[in-house]
Amino acid sequence: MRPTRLIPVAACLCAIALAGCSGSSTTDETSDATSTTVRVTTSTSTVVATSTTPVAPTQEAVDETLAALDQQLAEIDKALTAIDNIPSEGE
Amino acid sequence: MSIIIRKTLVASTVAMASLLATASAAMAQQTDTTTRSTVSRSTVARTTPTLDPARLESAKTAAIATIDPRLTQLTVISTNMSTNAGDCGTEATLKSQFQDDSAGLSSLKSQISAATTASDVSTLARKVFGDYRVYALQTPKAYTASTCGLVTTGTDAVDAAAVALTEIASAKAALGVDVSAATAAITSAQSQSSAARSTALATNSTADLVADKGDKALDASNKAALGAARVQLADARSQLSAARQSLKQASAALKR
Repeated sequence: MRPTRLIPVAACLCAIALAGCSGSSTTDETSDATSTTVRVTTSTSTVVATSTTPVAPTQEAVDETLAALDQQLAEIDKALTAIDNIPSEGE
Repeated sequence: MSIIIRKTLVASTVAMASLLATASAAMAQQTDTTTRSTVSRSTVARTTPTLDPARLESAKTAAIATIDPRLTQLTVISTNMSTNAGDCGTEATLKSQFQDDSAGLSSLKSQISAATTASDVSTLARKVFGDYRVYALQTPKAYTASTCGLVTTGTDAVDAAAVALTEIASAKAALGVDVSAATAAITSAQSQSSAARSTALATNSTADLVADKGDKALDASNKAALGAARVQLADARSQLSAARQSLKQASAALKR
């Protein structure tokens, strides 16, 4: 998901970077699954801003959690059974 | 008393009796020799009391054979605690106790190896069972802590899912969808998760239980505390299961 607030952030950076200089600038933008980074470079300065991509909760994620909880409950059952079957070994 | 517990007690008694019998036999043999030698010394100066080395070694071997599995067990339960998810806050304390026990048992092993009388072997062998309690105390303590960790890991997952479902519900509510049933189910899940966590954490006090060293009352008290913790963990498991069921209901309500 591309963060919608990134565009004004980038525009703002461009304005800041370009203020006070008459030369050209370069804008480099990189993104991954969780964030987008904009780097604006002029002849005199470089300004970097990172915007975190919001991750909206999804029904699929909740379903995955429910499945994981089933697994967790099974693990607890095993652990309780283990407690019931600790060997005495002469103690 | 259940059949399993009764069988365990019988097996325990037999195992300990067998070990002590070995040491006692060697000790008796030594006493005989000493008595005879005392008599002999007064009559035949050249007779020297000797303990049958084979019997002493046999007693030592039997005693040491009870230590090695305990050292292994302490390593296993310590490693398992590191491997298992979750920590209710007692892991470091318990691991430290297990390290101390390992050091103590290793020292005991050396003392038994160096013992020169069956009486010493017998005395040292008794410490294996009374002073350390690897199976009767430390292992259940480790298992209790690990199970508590599993429960709290589960409650963390419930809490995170409840937050996600709340966000989904809010988004749907903004679109005019009735999310009251889902919201009620989410609240139940959070409440049950909190209860599961509290119930599991109540077992933390077992980490402070100490070996009875032959004190029957303390032994009984330790067993009662560990038994109560087992019940609490089962209760926590039920509460976590209920929380999971509530989450499922909330999720289903939001899909409609």
